[in-house]
Amino acid sequence: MDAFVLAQAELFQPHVLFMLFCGVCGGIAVGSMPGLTATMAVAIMTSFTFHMDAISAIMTLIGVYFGGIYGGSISAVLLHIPGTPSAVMTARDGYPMALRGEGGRAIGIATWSSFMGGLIGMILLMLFAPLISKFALRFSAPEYFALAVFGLSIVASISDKSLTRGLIAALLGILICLSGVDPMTGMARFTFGLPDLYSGFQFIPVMIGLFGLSEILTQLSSQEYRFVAQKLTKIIPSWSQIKQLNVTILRSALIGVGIGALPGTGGAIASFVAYNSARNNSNKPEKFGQGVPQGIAASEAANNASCGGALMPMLTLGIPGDAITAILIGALILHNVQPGPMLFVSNPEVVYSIYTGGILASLFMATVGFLLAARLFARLISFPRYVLLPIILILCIVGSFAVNNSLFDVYVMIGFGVVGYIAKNLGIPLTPLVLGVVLGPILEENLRTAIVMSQGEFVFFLTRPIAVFFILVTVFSLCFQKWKANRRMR
Amino acid sequence: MSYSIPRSYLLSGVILVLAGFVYWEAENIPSLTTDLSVVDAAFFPTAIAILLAVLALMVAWQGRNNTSDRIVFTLTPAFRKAALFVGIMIAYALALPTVGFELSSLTFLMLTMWLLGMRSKVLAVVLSVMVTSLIYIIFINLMYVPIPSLLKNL
Repeated sequence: MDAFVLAQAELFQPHVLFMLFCGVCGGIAVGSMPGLTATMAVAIMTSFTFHMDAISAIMTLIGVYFGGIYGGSISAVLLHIPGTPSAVMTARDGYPMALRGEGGRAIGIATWSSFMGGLIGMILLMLFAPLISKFALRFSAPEYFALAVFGLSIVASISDKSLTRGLIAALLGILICLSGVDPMTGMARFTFGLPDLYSGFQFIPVMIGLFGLSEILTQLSSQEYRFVAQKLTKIIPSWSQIKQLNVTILRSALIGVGIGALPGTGGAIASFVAYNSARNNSNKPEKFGQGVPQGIAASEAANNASCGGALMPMLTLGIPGDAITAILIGALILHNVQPGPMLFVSNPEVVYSIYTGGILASLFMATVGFLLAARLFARLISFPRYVLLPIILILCIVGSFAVNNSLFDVYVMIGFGVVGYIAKNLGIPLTPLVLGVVLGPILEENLRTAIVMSQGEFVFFLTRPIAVFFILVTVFSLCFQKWKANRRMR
Repeated sequence: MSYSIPRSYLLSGVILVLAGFVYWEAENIPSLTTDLSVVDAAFFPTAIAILLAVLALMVAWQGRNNTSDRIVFTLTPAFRKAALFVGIMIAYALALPTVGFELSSLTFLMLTMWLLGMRSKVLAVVLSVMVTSLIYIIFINLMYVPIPSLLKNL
């Protein structure tokens, strides 16, 4: 109890709150820029925190983390360019809303869902961190493989009109990940003699090209351009709207925490799974992808809740839940705080300040989102096309370069922009393709590792209860969708 | 002059060619194991190539009754504009290391604004300078992204 009071006394000092607020604002600004990810922002901000005391430093980074994940939704909604990988699904329903002039409302829904997701994530972190972390430790290669298979079953939900084309898209996505040096054997695959390809295609330039540039090329090659004035009213969701979204947000946040707690997964997979779940539980699943608030709510609640989830193994076991928490571990160690089981004994005030700091960061994020971000950014996309498109194009280029400080990534982005444009014209949906890119490495690496573990015995999977559970959930989910589709047909 | 082909047949053909290429490339990946081929680097690409080929044939089969959905190949002015923008982006990326971020970005922004219909030269210059400065401050000054820059090298 003393440690809790001490933590609050340290946290509620004006300069610490100010740093947390600045972190949130900076995170939102960075996350909303194509190519600048929350991971990059946290990494860079770490160097600025050297001279700070431990609590101020941790609060700044927590602010950047939460703000950055939320910020990705802004460019996803308004420009169809997910600022962060976890905002891919937000773009699916957010952008159609922006095309209807409801960009402000869409950002409002994203803000509310992100706030609630972040809040639920932190509450679950406080209550169940040790329990969920212990469960997450039981995940090994077969379980991760089964989880990835479950993730791929989402293709059935996001394939627009044709499942066959959705599957082709997902396989093409997996194919993209195969380029580079094979992590298990060290053999180079699909590198075509290019040294830049030895580390494979970077995810962000691929995503910017597929979503952002292909959209611009489609606009340029269509004969008419429709200017959409954005309504800036009703940005804060009404009470009735909130009531409609409550169940989706709660379910998605639980999914986000669960998946976020698994090391090596992260917000992108959480938002895919939550979106699929929201669609399966909807009375009008066919409306998903055409601009429904539930689609945005599911994705945003899940990816923000995954922050709380990712902090669980970090705090309790010293294992990073994702790339950002890996950097946070480094930052904590820099300030003489060692994450892991002993943290609760040696520095309990740090743990309590992270709990409260996460909740405050969510509050600041909602305040900045509602009062400033939604109005400001929605106004920005009301600029004339001859101003807006060049700015987006240059952001696509600079953002792709920023990922790895490499011009090769700019060419990759342009290449995938053209690929995305061709794919759209051939009727290949792009979201399953990105799903394949996200899940491909997890699928391949864990299948092969599991096979090695079992000495080639595929039956091995059946001896793993969690893996069997995910396989059964996958089968059930596919059957349920088929049954629902048949019922609608009748 | 224009030429059209059923969309599903074109998709099927493209995917079949791609699947064949992936299969051929995978065949060239050396094998390291003798007893567990699943562990080899070629296993996954081969499996994906086969699955893609099967799905491509399915697309062609499903589209046999819907040949009215066609892709028309024609060089409309709008399509030419999209191709021109891709060319300008490549030129911008090529110019970056030699000309630097500042000059190449100003030129890129002014040119693309003009191509998209902005006719006020003053506004184009003012906006280009503003956007270039803002990106410079955020990416180069604040985020330390080492974009080739003339100002930084002075």
